[in-house]
Amino acid sequence: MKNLFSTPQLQSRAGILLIFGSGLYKALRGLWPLGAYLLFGKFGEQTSNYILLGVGFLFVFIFIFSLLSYRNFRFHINYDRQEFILHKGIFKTSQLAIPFDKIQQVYFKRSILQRIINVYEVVIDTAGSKTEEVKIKALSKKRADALQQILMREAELKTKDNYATTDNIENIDESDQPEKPLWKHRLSTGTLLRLGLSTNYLRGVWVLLIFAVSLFQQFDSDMLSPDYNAQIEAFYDSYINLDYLAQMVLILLPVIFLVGLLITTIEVFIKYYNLSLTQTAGSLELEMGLRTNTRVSIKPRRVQVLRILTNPVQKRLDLYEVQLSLANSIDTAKKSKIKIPGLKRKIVERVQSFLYPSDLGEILGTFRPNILLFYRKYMISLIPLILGLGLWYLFLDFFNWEIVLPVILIYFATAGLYQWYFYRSVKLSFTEDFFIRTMGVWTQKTEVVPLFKLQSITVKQPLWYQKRNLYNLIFHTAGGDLGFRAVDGDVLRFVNYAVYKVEVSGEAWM
Amino acid sequence: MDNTFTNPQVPLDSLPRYQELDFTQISSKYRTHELLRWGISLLILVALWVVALIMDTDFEILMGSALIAFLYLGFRFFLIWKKQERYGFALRERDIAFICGYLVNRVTVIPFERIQHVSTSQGVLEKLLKISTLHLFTAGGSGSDINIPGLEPELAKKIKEALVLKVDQT
Repeated sequence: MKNLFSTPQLQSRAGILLIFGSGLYKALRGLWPLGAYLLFGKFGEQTSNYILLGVGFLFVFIFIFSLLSYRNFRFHINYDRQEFILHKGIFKTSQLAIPFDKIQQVYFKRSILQRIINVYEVVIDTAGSKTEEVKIKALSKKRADALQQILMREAELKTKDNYATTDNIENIDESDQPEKPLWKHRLSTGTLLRLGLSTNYLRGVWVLLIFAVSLFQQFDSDMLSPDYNAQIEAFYDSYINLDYLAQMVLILLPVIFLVGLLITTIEVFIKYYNLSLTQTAGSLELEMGLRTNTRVSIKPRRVQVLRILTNPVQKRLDLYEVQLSLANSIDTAKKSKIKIPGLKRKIVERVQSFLYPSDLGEILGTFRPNILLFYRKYMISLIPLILGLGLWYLFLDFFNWEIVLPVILIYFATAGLYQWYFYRSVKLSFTEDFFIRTMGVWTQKTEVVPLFKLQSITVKQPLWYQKRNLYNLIFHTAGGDLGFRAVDGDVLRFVNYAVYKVEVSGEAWM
Repeated sequence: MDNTFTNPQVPLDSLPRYQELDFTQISSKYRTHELLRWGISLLILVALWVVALIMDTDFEILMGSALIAFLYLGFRFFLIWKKQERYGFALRERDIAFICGYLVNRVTVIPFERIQHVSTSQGVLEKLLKISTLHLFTAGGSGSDINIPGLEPELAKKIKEALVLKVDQT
């Protein structure tokens, strides 16, 4: 086992097909105008023969190209120098060496084509913003599994060496245990359905809206003809009255709602189909997806922020979503957030106790924002209304106080209620080793961060907070910033405490 | 090896307080630097205004834009003047703190263990005035980094070397 992959390795044979496929696809994408011309143009027999010859030549050329690219793509592990090495390229060859301690994650991905030819794509994620991730497009399941296991183990051992003096005890005894699952959780189709039905439909509605707008823009040019404008005027004259508007809204709203629900549910199915979560001694394995099957192995050390989300409906159904922010630099922020929806409370607790072995402990201090935060957010939420009304007044003739006044009142009331409940939901607590931020009206969010994983802390005080002794806090982690506004000066004790915790911990944050 | 494991409770209020740090002010040349930049933007705006004047723009627009520019530049001048005294940094045994800002006062504390790398830089104007800027980077993104402007180049270099030493130790 020790010397596996120590000699240069090729990908699976079937990989040639994959490279050929993607090469063909690229060529076709580049040449499609020519292709269209050939399809629809009229040619004599002579010309057609030349064209066929050309196409045949292109195929052969791409095939030779993919064969060469396959032959030149070699990877191996240099155990002495503790590196993963990759050679690639036909004309411009390159060699890439990744030291084990730079390896963050090794995970699998499968597109439809990769699934058809039964290979796995292995992605090696590295630390640091500039280095790109490495992709090995085609490996058999056995080799992919072996490679992932070796790399993850070596990476873990290597980082452990570096911090050997400061690491605490629990990290040492997990070293060479076999990777046998401690527990496994699968998302059943029923849960998936419930999840889809209870997810925020606004996204679905939004997608629908964007689709409608882009469709509208397609026909826009026709609609702006003078003839059409006259039609609109006639339409306004005869139909636009309050009754008609109310009817339209009453009919349209349920339709939009239903379609939004459908889109959201389909999206949930595509993204999270067949989700399974397995915990082994050293890591958490996640597998999911219908279109592209993703497999990720999560090490507790990489996790910077644990986020638990739910909404009142999902809470009733015992469905929670866990989001993990992994260490990264800002420019790769998107790919480093892992979302695991549809978990039971019990599973969430298991995940949490795996990531943070120590108990959250007793709460030493809880802070809520000052009422100023509510005023501020309320003011900001009124800006769209004022802008919208202003634009309406300036550019549309149809400005009717009978409609505008109720709209204003309803907007004022709902925005006020929403912001009030949001303001009431915001809370920041400190325990001995963690801080916990909770917020959210519909989607309730709880974020747990170990104090020692903080990178730095910023305390801001605008002039107008001085008299009230209020501060804005920003906790910077490698998985993003967590802010907290308008909090009483008493919190500074905990800011000092957090700095102290970082400085005495000696534990590796990554 | 000492086997007795102790973990006494830490009284929150006995911890060192960053609020009581004695911040070292930055060089007053930085104010000159900012005022020079302010002067350049003033020149550009005046030039634009003169061009507009020659091109026979409406009197109201000319006066309006002049008023807005005057207010804006006046506000900038006021801020530059006020901000200068607010810049400061403080080194402790285990961390560095940086303070800045007048309208919004901002303090950032970075423990040495979390510093990824340190560098100094000098722009054209800074070179002219013989000051430089010290940059401290963490893994927490741009918000968590510190840039200390207006340091004497030797001081910046000295701090940089001291920090590199501290970062390597941890």
